[in-house]
Amino acid sequence: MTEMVANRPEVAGNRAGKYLTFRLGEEEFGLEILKVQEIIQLQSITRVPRTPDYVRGVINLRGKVIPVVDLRLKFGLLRAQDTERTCIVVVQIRHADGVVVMGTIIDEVREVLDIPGASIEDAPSFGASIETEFILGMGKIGQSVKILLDIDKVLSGQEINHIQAASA
Amino acid sequence: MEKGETTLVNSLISQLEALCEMGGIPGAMRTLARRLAGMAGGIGSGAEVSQKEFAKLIQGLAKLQRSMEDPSTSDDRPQATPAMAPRESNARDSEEMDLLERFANRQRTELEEFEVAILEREKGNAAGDEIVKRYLHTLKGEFGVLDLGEWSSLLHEVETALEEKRMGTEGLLRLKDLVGDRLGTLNSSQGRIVSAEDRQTVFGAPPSQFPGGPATDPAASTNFASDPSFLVDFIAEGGDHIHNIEKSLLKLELNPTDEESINLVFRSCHTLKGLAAFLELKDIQRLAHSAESLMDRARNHVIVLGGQHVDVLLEATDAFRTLVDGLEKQVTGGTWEPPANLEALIGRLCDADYLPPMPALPPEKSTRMMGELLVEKGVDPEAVERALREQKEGDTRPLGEILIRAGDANPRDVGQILSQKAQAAKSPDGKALSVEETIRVPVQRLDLLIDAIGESVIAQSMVWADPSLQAVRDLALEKKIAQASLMLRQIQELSMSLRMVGIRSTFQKMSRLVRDLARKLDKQIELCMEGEDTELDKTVVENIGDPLVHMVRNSVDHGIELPAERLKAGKPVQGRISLRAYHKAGSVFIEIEDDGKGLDRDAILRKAVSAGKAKADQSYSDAEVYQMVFLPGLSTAKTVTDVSGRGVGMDVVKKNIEALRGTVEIRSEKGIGSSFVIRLPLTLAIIQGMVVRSGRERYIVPTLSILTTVRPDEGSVHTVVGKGEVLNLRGDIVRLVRLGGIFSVATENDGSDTQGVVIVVEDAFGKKIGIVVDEILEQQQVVIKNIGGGMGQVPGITGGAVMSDGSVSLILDVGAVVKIASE
Repeated sequence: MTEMVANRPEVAGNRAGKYLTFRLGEEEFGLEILKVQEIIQLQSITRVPRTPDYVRGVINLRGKVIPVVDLRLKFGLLRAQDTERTCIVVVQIRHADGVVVMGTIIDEVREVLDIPGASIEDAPSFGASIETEFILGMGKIGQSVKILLDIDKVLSGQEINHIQAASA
Repeated sequence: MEKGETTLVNSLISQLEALCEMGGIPGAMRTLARRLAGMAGGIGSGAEVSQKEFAKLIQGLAKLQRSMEDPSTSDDRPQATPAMAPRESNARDSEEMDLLERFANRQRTELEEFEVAILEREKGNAAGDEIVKRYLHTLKGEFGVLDLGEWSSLLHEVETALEEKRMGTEGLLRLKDLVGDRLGTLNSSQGRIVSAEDRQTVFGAPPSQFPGGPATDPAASTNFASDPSFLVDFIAEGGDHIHNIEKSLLKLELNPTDEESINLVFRSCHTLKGLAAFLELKDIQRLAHSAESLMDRARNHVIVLGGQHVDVLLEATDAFRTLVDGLEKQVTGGTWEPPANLEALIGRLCDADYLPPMPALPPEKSTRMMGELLVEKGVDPEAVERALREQKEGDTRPLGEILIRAGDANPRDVGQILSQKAQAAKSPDGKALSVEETIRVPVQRLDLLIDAIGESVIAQSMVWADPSLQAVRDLALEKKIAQASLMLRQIQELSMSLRMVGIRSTFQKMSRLVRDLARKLDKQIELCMEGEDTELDKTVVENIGDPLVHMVRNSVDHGIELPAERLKAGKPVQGRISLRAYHKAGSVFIEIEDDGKGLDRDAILRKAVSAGKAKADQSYSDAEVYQMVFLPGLSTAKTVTDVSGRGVGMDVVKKNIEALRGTVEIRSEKGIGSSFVIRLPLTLAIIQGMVVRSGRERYIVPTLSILTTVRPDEGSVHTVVGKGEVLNLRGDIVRLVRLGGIFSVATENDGSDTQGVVIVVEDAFGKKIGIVVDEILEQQQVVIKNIGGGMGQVPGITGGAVMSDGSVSLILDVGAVVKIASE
């Protein structure tokens, strides 16, 4: 996926916009609203064997079968009990051969925020051991900081790599 | 109104105003100009104007100009002298372009009708004659309105010539061709002129060379000013024509005088030329023109098509394809280089008749005169002469009748000849008319429809399975629901058949391939095809092409021997490759059979052993050895040719076929031949599956791969230490895998010895294993869904299916499960 990294658009200029914020564990995250297709209730998920943990399985979205990824596990958090607030955010991610629809399980949806470009900072560098390339930036709203995700990177690149590595 | 249009209108107004200020023009004209300026002013000020008003304005302008150039010409009669100088094209505003475009589009269909009418007219149909005359007149008028004076006067001349009987069918057809070719270029100053050459085209002999020589630089050869959707249509339609040309050319090679094929090629070239001209695709147009001229000469029996003609024409077909492909690339935004040898090819096309022209063949029987034919039947020539004289003197009865009445001919002969003539008149044009009507629909839309129907089937079964509905015990309601579901199923089946296409076009490509390769390798090969009309899913047809090419290539290169070898082996010199397609047992089979030397079992095995893919001390069955051909990097060819032998290909073949959920089987006998049998599913969208339960999860096993299911007895399952379990299936030892085990399904119980059910499956290589599940739930038809683009390939799973309760079940990939089990 080095190619995708190379093609990464200049993020600094164009980050302002509307973000869907949600909670995952103790942290708040933001997702570009244009990537969000819909938010649906948690429904029965069919486990797909021989895939990484964070792939919860597949669901039937009005006749289409889409994969669902547990963002908690994806980010290395502990798996939590599903609650009534747990829901699936269906996102459209850009992929090498077009747009792919995927579900992401998050703990709780918060709100839609309009974040001006001035309030968005680059992700601090944590050293080489921590990947920050899927962070679009840090949005400062009042006292709180929201981690704005580049969902294309979160899901598309590594997902397929991992799944293919698992199958090899 | 667009900004550009406003500017144009404004410049128009100022020009008109300048005209009004000019002295020495008649008052009436000045009034007209003033009125037009007023109208244009209205348009320029941004008021809403209808298309009709625009048209009126343009007509007025045309009138004005005409009257300026020749004040004596009356308004309703188009000008008879081609005196008008071509105006600068920038003076033609976009509205006029629009009118021209519409005119051109309309004429395209009308020209076709015109052609039909011409042919009808030739047969003596009065209605056809009427239509021809009316069309000519209308066209003349339209040219006049559009300010195409030269064209209008050409039409006028044609009308006169027709009246004076100086013009026949040929001339009319040439006129039709000329108009059709030039429709697209009418907006250019060049296209407005009717050159002496054009006139000669219509009134005299057709030119043998393309006028103008090499035209325009390649950059100008693709004009995207026209609507890209035209181009997309052209790409699709052009592809069909190219395909038709190729098909007919191959037929012509076997039978060079096949009128029908000659005409088909000619017509397709002609249509291509016309389409290309319209879209200003100069390269394609010129190529088509040269190919058409060659075919025209064949059609008129000036030349007889020989091998060298077919060769160069096939080359032209390839060039067409490259050009059209390039076009497609350009439309989709890619870059593309025009073929370098185009000029040379066109040169050769024009030159391909360097052979001395053949003596003209006797005209076809059907076009000969009644009298001639009767004389042949033994009627006294003098009697025929006499009857003809009578006819000339005013006897309106047909010749045959006169002769019968006079007792000179017998009615049976006359009847026979008449029916022959009628037959000849019908074909080939009669045939072309009976083609099934089709509609081009984007595949995407079709898939949406199929998806939607599939979903409604699921929705319907969800309704049916709903507990509250189940609680209602009402026979009438049940009947209604059953009826509805039956119909829904029918619709679903119908929707599936929409995606089915014949394999003919794929096979057709092979005949070309075999021909070219055989020539290259100095082999004589006959290709037989059977079952070209066998239908299968469009995706399958599209994807089976490449594997077939590889396999056919292999058969030609490695299978069929050189003629000398064949003679030595006591076989006919000409090798034979058969392509067969047929339906059997819910699958589609495609066979490639050759009568060549067969696979060399020992050589394959040696190679596999040396490549480390097989063990020297192990014994293999023939089928197993042949399957090794599909291993990557294994080629038994002693020399690598540019045709095949590099060892890449066969593994790709296998992969491609497996991707289509198909299998390949090889049968071979040394010295006698070999055959590759490809088995493919009828459709990629639906499978019959067995729903099984393992733990709390449900999986679907494709019924096609299931050999049998058994509930094993206590004694029949044995544990082989360190190797797992095996089942003694009526003396056959079958390896067992627990589905719950390989898929790590959470088990409900402690895993104590529950036997479950064994489903014995067979993979593509005939390898059997038993899959142990807890329970078989039901048999069901399921619609296969991709389990999401983001998932990539999941080992052991081919896809998902939405079950009647709305949840998703996964479909097992039996081949992969077998592989996992043997790891």
